[in-house]
Amino acid sequence: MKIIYTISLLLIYCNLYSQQISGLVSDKKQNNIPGANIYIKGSYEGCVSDNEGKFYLETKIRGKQILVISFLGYQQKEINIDLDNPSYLKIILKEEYNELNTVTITAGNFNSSSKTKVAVLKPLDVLTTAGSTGNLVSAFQTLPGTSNIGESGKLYIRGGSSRESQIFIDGMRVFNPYTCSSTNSPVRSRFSPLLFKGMNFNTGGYSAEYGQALSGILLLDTEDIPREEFTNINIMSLGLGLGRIKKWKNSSLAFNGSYINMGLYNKIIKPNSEWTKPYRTASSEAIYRCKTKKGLIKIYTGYSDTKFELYSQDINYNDKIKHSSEDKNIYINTNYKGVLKHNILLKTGIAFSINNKKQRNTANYKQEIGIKDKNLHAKFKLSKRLNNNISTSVGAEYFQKEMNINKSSNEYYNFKLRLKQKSNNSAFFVENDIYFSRNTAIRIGIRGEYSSMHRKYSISPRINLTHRINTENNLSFSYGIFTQDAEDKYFAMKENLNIEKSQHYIINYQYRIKGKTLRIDLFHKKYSNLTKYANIKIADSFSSNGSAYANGLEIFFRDDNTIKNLQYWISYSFLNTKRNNKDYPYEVSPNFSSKHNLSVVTKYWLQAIKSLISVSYSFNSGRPYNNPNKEKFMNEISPNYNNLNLSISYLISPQTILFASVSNIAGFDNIYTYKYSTKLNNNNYYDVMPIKPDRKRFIMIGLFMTISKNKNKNQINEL
Amino acid sequence: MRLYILILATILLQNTAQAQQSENRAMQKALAMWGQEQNNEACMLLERISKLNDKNWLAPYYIAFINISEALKNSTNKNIENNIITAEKNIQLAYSRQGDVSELLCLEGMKYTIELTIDPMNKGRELLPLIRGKYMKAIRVNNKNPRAHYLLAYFSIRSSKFTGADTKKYYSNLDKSIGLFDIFEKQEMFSPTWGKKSVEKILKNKND
Repeated sequence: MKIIYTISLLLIYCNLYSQQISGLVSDKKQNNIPGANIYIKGSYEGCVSDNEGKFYLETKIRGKQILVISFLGYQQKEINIDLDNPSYLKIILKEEYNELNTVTITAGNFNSSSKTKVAVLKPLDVLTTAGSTGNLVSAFQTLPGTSNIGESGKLYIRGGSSRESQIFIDGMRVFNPYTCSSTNSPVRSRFSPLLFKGMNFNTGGYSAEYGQALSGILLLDTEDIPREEFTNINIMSLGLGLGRIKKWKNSSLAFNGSYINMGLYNKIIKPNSEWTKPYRTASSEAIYRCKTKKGLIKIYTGYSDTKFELYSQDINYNDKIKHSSEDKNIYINTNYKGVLKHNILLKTGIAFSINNKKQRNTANYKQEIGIKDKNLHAKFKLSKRLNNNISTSVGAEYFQKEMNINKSSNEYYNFKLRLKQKSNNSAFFVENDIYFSRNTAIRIGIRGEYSSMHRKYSISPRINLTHRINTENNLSFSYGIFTQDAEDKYFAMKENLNIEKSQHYIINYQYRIKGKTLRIDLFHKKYSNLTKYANIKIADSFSSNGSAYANGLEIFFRDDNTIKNLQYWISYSFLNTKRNNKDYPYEVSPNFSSKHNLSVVTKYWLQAIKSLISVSYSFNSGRPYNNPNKEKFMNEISPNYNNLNLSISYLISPQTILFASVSNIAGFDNIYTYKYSTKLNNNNYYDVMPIKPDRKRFIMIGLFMTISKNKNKNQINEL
Repeated sequence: MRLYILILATILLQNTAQAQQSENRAMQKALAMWGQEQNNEACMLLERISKLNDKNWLAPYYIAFINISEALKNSTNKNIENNIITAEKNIQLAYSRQGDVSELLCLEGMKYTIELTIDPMNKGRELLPLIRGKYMKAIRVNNKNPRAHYLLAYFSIRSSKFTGADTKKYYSNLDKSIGLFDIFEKQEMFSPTWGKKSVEKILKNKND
């Protein structure tokens, strides 16, 4: 009886008597932390620290317990306490670094993922920017650091030629990103921008993970498993497109096909050249994605076939010359990303392509070039967060290339040439991100590459230091060495050539508040080991004594919310560059550089007519060209280039969008550059011909329809 | 002796019943804190409840719901990224604990709506049909869920700006949802019952 009495008394006693715990929560620098979560492990009892970091918890629990203290951005702490003998607790929390609360290492980067807050050019901006007509590369030409070389259409970054930049999809190189083109019709990139969830445009100072690009890289990331099933039908003034995505529980299959033929368009609006076989491209792609237990597999396969034939005026001949071109391309890109043991992330992939290109010129004689190239890229990368402050990644890759060139010409005699060029490159890279604090981080990496073409190794260290001054201001410095094999054209002379090299010194400043971004870049690029020759036909005149430099200042400003429904961005680049390579007699500004480049893009949603209107203006100051009639080499400058484009996307119904765009509405009479004849005329003078756009204006009209299970889906990128 | 065992048994039974009772009391306390706009404290208590009972799906449900409501109320809030991440984490947790699918689909739709309000220009294409899909699936799973009907109707009204659809039938659907709120039967003690006041407010504002 007595036992029952004691037990019940004890139980009642325990239920009535409560204990108090109190203390102070602060960080290593003695700053008090308000709003921290403090609770007894295994119970509901807890409290929150007040504005001064002090807390006070009353509880009926007794005995030895564990007290848990946590706060966002800090490592959770557990301490042993004895509720029978509570004491005042002084708790110090350690900072925890994660993506959301630390400085972002920028490294000269324009990141445009639909997920990041710092996106500069959203993937869908490409479709709706006036003047881009869905061509991936032209939208990037509205960003600073690029030069607009109208007759080429490729990417020219900070005074570098188009071969100095590379494009990667999911980390794997794209070997032939552009379709073939004729003399003054620019190329188009092969890929639809809608494939990608994120694009990372690097105009210099890029990561040790990538190589073979003296100037910059464009990284494209494809969508992971799509969220929905749907069918797309596109009807445009230049062709048709069809796409379908089918989705299962853990996998999806997407299919896209498109056919572009300029024939009908040429009949309505006549271009300057005479197209006997108008430009036409047939392409298809299939993408399979599958989620495995610990990762994601993506398989991309694409096939495209481009053909055209035209007659155009050439300064060297009285009659027009016939140019014809055909290329067939297969590209397969398989990659896997997943998590291994110990939280190690693995990214690996294989990319393969076969490109078959035939070009024919017929003037007084026939000249034919056929190039068949096969490319392979295999890569793997392992990354891991070692501790709170350091993450590291390490990887290796292998490239193999085989080019079969068939040249034939009957200019003087029947000439046939067959060349086979094989080369391979292997590379190894290590990179570390070290966070000294939440606001200061350094990325330091090194890349070692072996080139079989040159039979040499190159070591490229790269470093980037970023400091976040406060939530709005970021400053970063970067230095790196970048290498690239000499051009394929000079493969036969490789015994005399060395790996080309460039060094980048970049200072970058960013100011960002909600909806507005300001970026200022200052850079200096020094090139060495550039290929030089006195006479292109004499192997012994080849050497790697060429050099170049490029300096510049770039300013970029984007505003998404000052004026309602209006988005706009302005970019200005100043470029000062000279090079002495190839057969240049001395250092000059190259033909693909212009001193001042300005681009203004605006997009406005007009509710009254349910349309997105976009106007873009671009200006490039004149480009140097060589006048052989004058003594000084490359001393003349072409006229300035101006362009004003307009596009409208009208929402006819939830499922249908009408799109119309006009380029050069102001009708500027632009001249890209001048071409001189190779022979003196009767007056001992070299004749000249301006190279102008093939069409003064380009008009495109398209109807885009989306059909999906849910009735209200539409394709407009909602502006 | 028998009395001894009886008393001991009663005390022991009380303890297990107490466990459920104290969890219920904690849930009630958390919801009360939220009612008084102490969102932080409410979420912290709900997280403790969630950790202690891995069969409780309503605790993560409410953590997600509190974060979602906070974000929807104030889309310029600096904390909005955390709101979205926390909501997503807890919705998935609730799913894994066999939570009510229809209610969770409603939460998913609301979470995507937050993403849409942050960046309508670029996300609209993808999210408009996705959000509608979630609400429509919620209705298919449970035709009597008043929240699913309300959210679908209200979202259709808000997005009629872009779709150009006529809002008359959506308003009448909202009206019908009030009837569903009235006959709704809770499956559990803390099953969600919110929404009727919001519908009434929307209908009132329309008529003003």
